Amino acid sequence: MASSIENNNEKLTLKSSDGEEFLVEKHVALQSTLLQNMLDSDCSSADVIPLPKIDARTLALVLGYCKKHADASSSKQGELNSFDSEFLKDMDMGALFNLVLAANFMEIKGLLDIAAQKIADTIKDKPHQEVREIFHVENDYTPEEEAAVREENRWAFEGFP
Amino acid sequence: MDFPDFYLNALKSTANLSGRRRPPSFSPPPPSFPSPPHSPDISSLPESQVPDIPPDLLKKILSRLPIRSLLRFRCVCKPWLKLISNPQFSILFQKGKIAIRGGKGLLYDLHLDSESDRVSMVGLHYPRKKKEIGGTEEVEMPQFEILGSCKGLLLIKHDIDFYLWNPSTRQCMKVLLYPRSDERFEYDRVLTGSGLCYDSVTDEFKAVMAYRYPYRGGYRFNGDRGIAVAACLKSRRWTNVYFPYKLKSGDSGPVVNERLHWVVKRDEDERADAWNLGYKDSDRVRRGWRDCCDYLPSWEDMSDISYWEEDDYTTDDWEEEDIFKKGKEQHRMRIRT
Repeated sequence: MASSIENNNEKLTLKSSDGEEFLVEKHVALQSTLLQNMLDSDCSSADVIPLPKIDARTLALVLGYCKKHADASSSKQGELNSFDSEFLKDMDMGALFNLVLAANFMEIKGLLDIAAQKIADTIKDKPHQEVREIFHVENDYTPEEEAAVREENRWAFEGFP
Repeated sequence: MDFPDFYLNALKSTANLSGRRRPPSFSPPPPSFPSPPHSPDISSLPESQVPDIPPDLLKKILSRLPIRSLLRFRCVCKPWLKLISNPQFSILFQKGKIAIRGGKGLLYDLHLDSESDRVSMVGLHYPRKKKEIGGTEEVEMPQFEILGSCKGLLLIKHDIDFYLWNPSTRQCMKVLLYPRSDERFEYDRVLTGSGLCYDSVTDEFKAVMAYRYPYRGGYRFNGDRGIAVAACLKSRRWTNVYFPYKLKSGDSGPVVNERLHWVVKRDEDERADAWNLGYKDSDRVRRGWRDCCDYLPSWEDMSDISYWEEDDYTTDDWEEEDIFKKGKEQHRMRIRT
């Protein structure tokens, strides 16, 4: 166990996929289970930790979330909840996808939950064709196959194109 | 510096596994520029590229969707169909908050024979009995009883087997066997009511069945009262539930706050009460349903009642306006404790 964890003022540097470096206070970084495990193991805190899957914009968002939750961990849950919904409010799908990936990679469960829920809430009433666009998924059905799958659950499509 | 294995493994696990993907229709983000190692202003950072979502994450997102959306999204592409139809996916559902839509919804294509109280499926694929999950041999189950529904799953009895069925994935899991050797099951009992509920404390589903004994040898066994049996689907144990009442309606009521409700009657007292039988000891949660007994919902209507939001439910003080649907009419009534 690294003794440096006991010192809350210490900082570590995270490096995004596009080379941006972020100086983060340790207690904020501890919101991430991945970083926590790294700090607990022998990784020297003087080093820069590269996060090659996370771009700078996403990392900035993630760290904003972590900071709020680290600083407010003893305060009221309601305040955090309203921060969470405000945090995701106007975020576009691309940003949400990046957030989900980053939260998954960095093992920040709270962020993963709210971002996944936000995506689900956004797509749940959209037609499947639009969901294809959102997820950049190629339609590999033939028209006949798609019609067959659709027919199996006809009622679910009532009111949808 | 040396990174620990879990870090390297985490990196590998985010590799793109989701197969083919359409090329993005936008240009790549502008190259990054060097900056001092401080948290930069977010607006100055380049736009993020829309990433691929690996299957394990996709699963986490999709499992939060209502069944209706999932059924439509089976049409997105074959990998999605496969994912949504995966047996593992149905396990996620058991922990999710998804309600079966009755009547006009998911069971729209169910054919309900009110005389025999049997349900046969039309249109929807009905459960198939498989030798084992993932096996290829399938035997059709043309006749079965739906004993209850909870959290998007149906409890189905076929012959002496009990199944949990997830209509969105069409996955079926055998959960119980009728305990014929058990003395509680010796007599010719009549199943008068049944239901399925979920206990978050023990994280398991419970099947509840209420029976009435017919006349035996000129006297009524167990008086006019019924007997209820609860079975825990995880431990597969059957337990007797104290139940000195007669079911007023054969169909189970809604599962609200993880409790299964029934309308029951005491023999010395015509008043109908609702009882919670979700747990081993049936604790009484509300009374005063007398006024609404005329509108006692059928199985189909009961499904509508499960629309009740859990927030509306208070154990001690029931003053919410409840909605019973009878046919196309809607009856509203105020229930007081």
